[in-house]
Amino acid sequence: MAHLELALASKPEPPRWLSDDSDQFQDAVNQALNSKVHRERWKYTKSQPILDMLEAPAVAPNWHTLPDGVVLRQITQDLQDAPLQNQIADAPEASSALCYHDKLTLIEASGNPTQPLIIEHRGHSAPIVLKLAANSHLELHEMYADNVDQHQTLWIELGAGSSLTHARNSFIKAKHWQFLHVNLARDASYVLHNHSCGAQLRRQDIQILCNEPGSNATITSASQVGEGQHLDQQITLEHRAANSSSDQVFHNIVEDKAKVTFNGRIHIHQHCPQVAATLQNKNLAMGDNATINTKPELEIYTDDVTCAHGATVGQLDPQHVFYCASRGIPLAEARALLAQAFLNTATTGPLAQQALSEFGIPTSDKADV
Amino acid sequence: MSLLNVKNVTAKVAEQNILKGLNLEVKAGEVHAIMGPNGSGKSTLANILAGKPGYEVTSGSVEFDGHDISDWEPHERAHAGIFLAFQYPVEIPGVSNMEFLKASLDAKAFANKQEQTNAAAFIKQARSLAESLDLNPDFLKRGVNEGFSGGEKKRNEILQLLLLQPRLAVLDETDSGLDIDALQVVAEGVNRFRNDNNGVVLITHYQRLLDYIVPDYVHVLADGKIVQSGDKSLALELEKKGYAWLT
Ligand SMILES: Nc1ncnc2c1ncn2[C@@H]1O[C@H](COP(=O)(O)OP(=O)(O)OP(=O)(O)O)[C@@H](O)[C@H]1O
Ligand SMILES: [Mg+2]
Repeated sequence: MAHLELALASKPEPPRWLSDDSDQFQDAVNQALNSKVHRERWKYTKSQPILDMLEAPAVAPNWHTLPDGVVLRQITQDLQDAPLQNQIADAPEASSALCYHDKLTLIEASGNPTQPLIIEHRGHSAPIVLKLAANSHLELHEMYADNVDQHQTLWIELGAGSSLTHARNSFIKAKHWQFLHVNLARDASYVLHNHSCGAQLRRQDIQILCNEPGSNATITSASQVGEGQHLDQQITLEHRAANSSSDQVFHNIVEDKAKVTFNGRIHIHQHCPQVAATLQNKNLAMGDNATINTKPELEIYTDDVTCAHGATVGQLDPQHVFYCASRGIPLAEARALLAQAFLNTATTGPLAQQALSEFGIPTSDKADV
Repeated sequence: MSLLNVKNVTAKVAEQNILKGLNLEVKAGEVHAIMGPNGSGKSTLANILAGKPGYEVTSGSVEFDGHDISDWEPHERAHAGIFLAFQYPVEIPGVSNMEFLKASLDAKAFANKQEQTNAAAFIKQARSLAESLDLNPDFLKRGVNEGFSGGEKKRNEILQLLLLQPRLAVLDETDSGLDIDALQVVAEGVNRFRNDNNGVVLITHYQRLLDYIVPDYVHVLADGKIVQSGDKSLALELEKKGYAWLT
């Protein structure tokens, strides 16, 4: 990625906390940017427009009211201590985001607050690091206001026995890059409810690392990609410990002349018996000119694991369409109904209602029968 | 005038001739039972009536209410009053039963330039129909047939029948897979539906159903044709002798 190197080189003043190690840091970033894995990740999306956003000034998110047990600080920290230090190889683009921001937002949470932590992004956000203490439980809502180009890098560290429910509704109509990196300690559990639509270009990098035994990650994702829009989802699930598990479901509706890129990688490291990992990516093409590139990637270096991985690109099920028609529902309406159903089944969690209304799915019928 | 008139129809599915000159006339107020061996073309007939894509009438004609409906889309047939209770109802996760029923009812009302049922009245009606069929009203909130048992799916078809009030009901093995109590519930539902203005085509393998829903005619469909017709006593005879003597 020559342009990023250039961008880094022309950066006038590296932030203070980078000054000691900035050369080393940049070398590491550049090396990672030139790796094969990295090039693969940017095969279908031009990285330039995304990476250009790194230079834009950050806008503070609206934090709403912080729940009990949640402390937020702006920090300038030594690169040596940065929780991200080890992640450069996995996430060079996001790591380089650090070069452009003097400060990180560090959120430390503990206990079991009843209120969710709400982050409402209003533009480019400075990198956010969320640390959830051992045996703590938190609900995180991420939302995005204002239809302006945005990028966010969010680094999550889940302590032993902790659990995080993360609901993310991305509906801004602009260029949007969301980078998410989650580290799980022993018996930690991470649940992501991911919903999106509307962006002309949306890139979602999700990297989840089950680092210790008993850790568990679940992702349920529903996206609607309209005409002329492009959604690029790059998912990596690393199982680095025995007895860890993951379940992932991604449903994407791809309208005519829309484009979806999905890359779902599951990597089960050596000596990790009893890992159970599933990933399902279903793409529903709503027209002949929908473009879908989906690639399941499995790397398994332990025998005693169960892993199911599937990617499908399909049209609506004709049996379903006929069932609707036989009840008097015309084709166009049946298609809309079935497309909604497809999204609906992957729309979950605390922000599901809001997501359904963004998707234009009536929810009133469900309320009270 | 006849409600349904199938005249000498031959029909093809997946390049195979399945119906080979079938005649069937149903007048308003009548119930016609159709029996016959597996694979003889009973469901094919049902699908032809409902207009399922891939089922092609190659000669003869299908008339409904005096109109040749061969070119009609499935939803147009539904609007005109043809209803098919499926042998294997499909599951549609993500669309609630309630939403589906309302969409069906609204589509039909819209096509026939009638007023839509208001939401409250509709919910009340759907709930009471569910109860009358021994279906827990919670079924209305679940996805269409999603995770329903075989018997529940069949009862759900009858619920739709009672809600949509078609002119012609084609019931494809709605009794299959029902326990004895459910069979009575379903039969009672069909009997409630019957009146002088509508007709029923009842596809079944079991004479027992005809004890509950007494047909005006019983036909035997074998190898794509009606090979024998009679009254309800024919069903009893078939029960004893099987189909071999007819073909
Ligand atoms: N979509 C299809 N594609 C291929 N063959 C079909 C299709 N539909 C029906 N057939 C064939 O047509 C013949 C008649 O099938 P049909 O389902 O009408 O029988 P049936 O009388 O309803 O049998 P059953 O009593 O088992 O329900 C069978 O040989 C069947 O395999
Ligand atoms: Mg059949």
